[in-house]
Order: sequence, then structure tokens, then C-alpha cells
Amino acid sequence: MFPALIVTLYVTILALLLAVVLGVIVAILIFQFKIVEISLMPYAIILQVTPVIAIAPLIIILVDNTFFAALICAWLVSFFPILSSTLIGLKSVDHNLDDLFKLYKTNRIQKLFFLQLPSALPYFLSGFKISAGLSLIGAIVAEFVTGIGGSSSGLAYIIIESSYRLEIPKMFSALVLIALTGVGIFLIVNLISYIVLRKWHESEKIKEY
Amino acid sequence: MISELNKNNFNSTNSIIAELKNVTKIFYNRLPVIENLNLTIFKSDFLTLLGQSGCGKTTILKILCGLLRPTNGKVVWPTSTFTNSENNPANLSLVFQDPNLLPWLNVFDNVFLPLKLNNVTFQEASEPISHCLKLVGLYDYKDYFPNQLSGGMKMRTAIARALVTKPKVMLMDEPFGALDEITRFKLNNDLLKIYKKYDLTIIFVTHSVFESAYLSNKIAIISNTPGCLKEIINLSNNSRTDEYRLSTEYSNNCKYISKKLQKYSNENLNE
Repeated sequence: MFPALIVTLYVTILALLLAVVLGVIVAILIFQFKIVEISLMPYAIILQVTPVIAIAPLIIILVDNTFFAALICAWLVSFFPILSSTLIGLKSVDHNLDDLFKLYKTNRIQKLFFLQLPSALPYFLSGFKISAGLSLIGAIVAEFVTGIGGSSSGLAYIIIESSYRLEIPKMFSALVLIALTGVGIFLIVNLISYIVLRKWHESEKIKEY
Repeated sequence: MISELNKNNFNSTNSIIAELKNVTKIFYNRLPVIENLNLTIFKSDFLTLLGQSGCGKTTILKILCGLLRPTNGKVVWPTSTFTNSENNPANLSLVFQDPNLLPWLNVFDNVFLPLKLNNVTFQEASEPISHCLKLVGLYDYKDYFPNQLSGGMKMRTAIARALVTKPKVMLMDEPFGALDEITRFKLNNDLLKIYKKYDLTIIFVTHSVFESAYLSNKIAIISNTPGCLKEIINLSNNSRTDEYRLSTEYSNNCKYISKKLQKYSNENLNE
């Protein structure tokens, strides 16, 4: 059971990290260059609205390596929330602060790092929370569809296998482990959000009465 | 006492800091917000733009510092004339209506921001920042974040941020509008002290007759829709302390200014 957990976790976390890095980079590019928005956004939306369970078999045919196939599935579902929430964050910079930076005659890079990215941080984190849960779902879905056992099988494979063998207790234990993993990811992500925002953002501020 | 002067007819020998020439501003092709405004700002002026809410005072200030483009006319800063927002004369600070602090930076870093954006290192900056924070009485609060500060403290942080670049001209847009009276009086006195100490030129926007009479040595009365400069009232520059608030001269000045203000706003209503 434990090696299976490691496999699932590995796919989940790697997909989430990829989603964070690419989501933020693409959001910045879209925000800075209109042409990127026009050329990328339609594909991003199509990928987002198509259910991952429907794309997964295709990905498995196209990608030989099952690990990469699972990674792509998990990445697909967790990418879009981060992209769209970061983009909204970048766009909703307080216009008064924007004026302030205009008076300081800052260039685009300075404005991005000193104003726009920090403003987008709470938005990004709310997308990150959604994506963290989704990447686990994506990883499980991918394992279900590939259905490949052996050394690289994850928790979802254990569920399939034990359902064929009618090993209900094993099935339950895999299910509970998945749920606990989800809760664990949720707690870690909330902790990150708390550490980053506690000092200044309303959402994580400790109120004193 | 009060001496009345015609528009732009000063006997001042001071050098000109900035000039607005026939400035008209129209938003969205509607009624003009400001129409044919001529205003000259001299060195060491404490000029108050006084007028009702929505008469275009803030717009004048934003045009002056280049955040807005005038629809017609031009803004002249000595040696450079500009009409677009990329240009911003050096040595100019703006204090907004709201403190406009960056919420993710503490007081110290907020004051550091304008220097950091000009590539001033922390070592070079820390002394002037500490100096400015002491000036506004916030040195003990330098580690606080904006959401831990009161409204007055936030405003004082904004003033410290405006002062840290050692500006020659300060534009202030109703900076004390949201504060209680006692805090406002205190900040008024602090501002006058800073004004005298650094020989600043301040352009101050307010709708409060009392504040304008207390602070400024020139009051430009702006009429409503469209904003026109109606009159510039010169006030003698005697010592402005808390005793001055109780003096008959101050109350006479207030009476005089508020009568003028009323006269010009009624003028427009009757049209």
C-alpha cells in the first residue's frame, strides 16, 4: 500500500508544481502581451472545459510512458485554476497604486515585481488551493484509465485490483488513504497560504478583540 | 490681513515652479470638468485649491503631475513642457486622498519603496528613512504593517514616503479628509513645520475652508462644473500655531473665504 501512496503522491505533487510554474509564467505572459492571450487562451479554455476522463485515454495512447501520461492528466486539471486566478490578480491592481508607480516612473519589470505580482498573490493562492485538490483527482483519474499494475502502480490501481478480487477491506483502506492524502494536501496548502499572507492580507489576518 | 489680487497678477519675485495654461479637461466627450484654467505656482507657495466636491480639484492636481492629459492647453514646468503622462518632473511627490500604502510592506519598507525603485541601496536609504519616520513620529512603528495602523498613522506613513525623496514640490490631495479633528490639527501643524524646514512648495487640495485658511498663504477658489479659477486670495504668512486658530484674524479670514466660496458657487447655480 505504501509504495502505491508514494507513486500517487509523486505524480500529484510534480503535476501541482508544474501547474504553479507554468500557470504563473503563462499568466504573466498573457498579462504583458496581448498577442499571447489571443493565441493561448482558446486552447487553455478548451483543455479546461473538456473533462479529463475523456482526454485521458487519448493521452495514454499518445504518451508511451504511463508515468508521464498520469502527470499530464494531473497537470491538465490543475493548470487552469492557477492561470485564471493569477491573471485576475494581475489585472486587479488598485488603480491608485498604479498611479503611484506611474509617478515613480517605473519600468514594466519593476512594476511587475514590486506591484503586480504581490497584488496577485492572494488570488494566486486561492487558485493554488483549488489546484492542489484537483491535481490529486487528476492523478487518480489517470491511474484508473491506465489501469497498469506492477511496480509503478498507484492507489487507484489498488482500488481497481481489489474490486476485481472483492477485497473490500483493502479497497476501503486505499480509499481512506486517498482521502487522507487529500486532507493532508489541503492542510499543507492552507499552511502555506497562512504563512505568506498572515501579516498583511485580510483573509489570513488574526483578529484581536 | 487679506489682500485681494487679480488672477495671475502677482507682485512676487519668486521663481515660477509650474504653470497651467488654458487647461481644459473633458472626460468621455461630456461636459468639461475644468475649463480654461490658468494657474501659476511660485516657489515656496503653500497654495490651496479650494472648492466644492466634484469641482475638479483632484483633476487639476493629476494634470499638474502628469497622471492625466489635459484635453486642451498645457502644463509648463520650467525647462520642460509636457503633455503626456510619461513625463514627471523630478523632485515631485504626490500624497493621495487615501494613504495608498502597499499592504504587503511594513511601514519602513513602504517608505523605502520610492528609493528602492530608484536603485538606492538599503545602507544608503536607511538613514533618510529613519529621519523621515522620526519626522512624522512613526519611528517606533516601523515594523508594523498598514492594516495594524490607524488612519492617521497610515496618512503619516504616506507623508513620510512622499518626503523621503526630498521633493521640492509636494502635491497633496485632501490628505487629511478622513481624519478626526484633533489628529488633523496635529498633522496640519506637522505639515507646516515640514513646509518651513525644507522650504517646500505645496499645492494642497481641500474642501475645508478652515483647513485652507489655517495652512496656506494662497487660496485658489475653484467654481463648480466646469471648474474655473475664480480668484486667488493671498493670506499674510504669520505664525500658524494652535493660538492662531482662536484668533479673530483667523475667523475673519475663514468668514471672508467662505463668503467668496458661496458667492462663486451660487453664481453657477443661477446660470
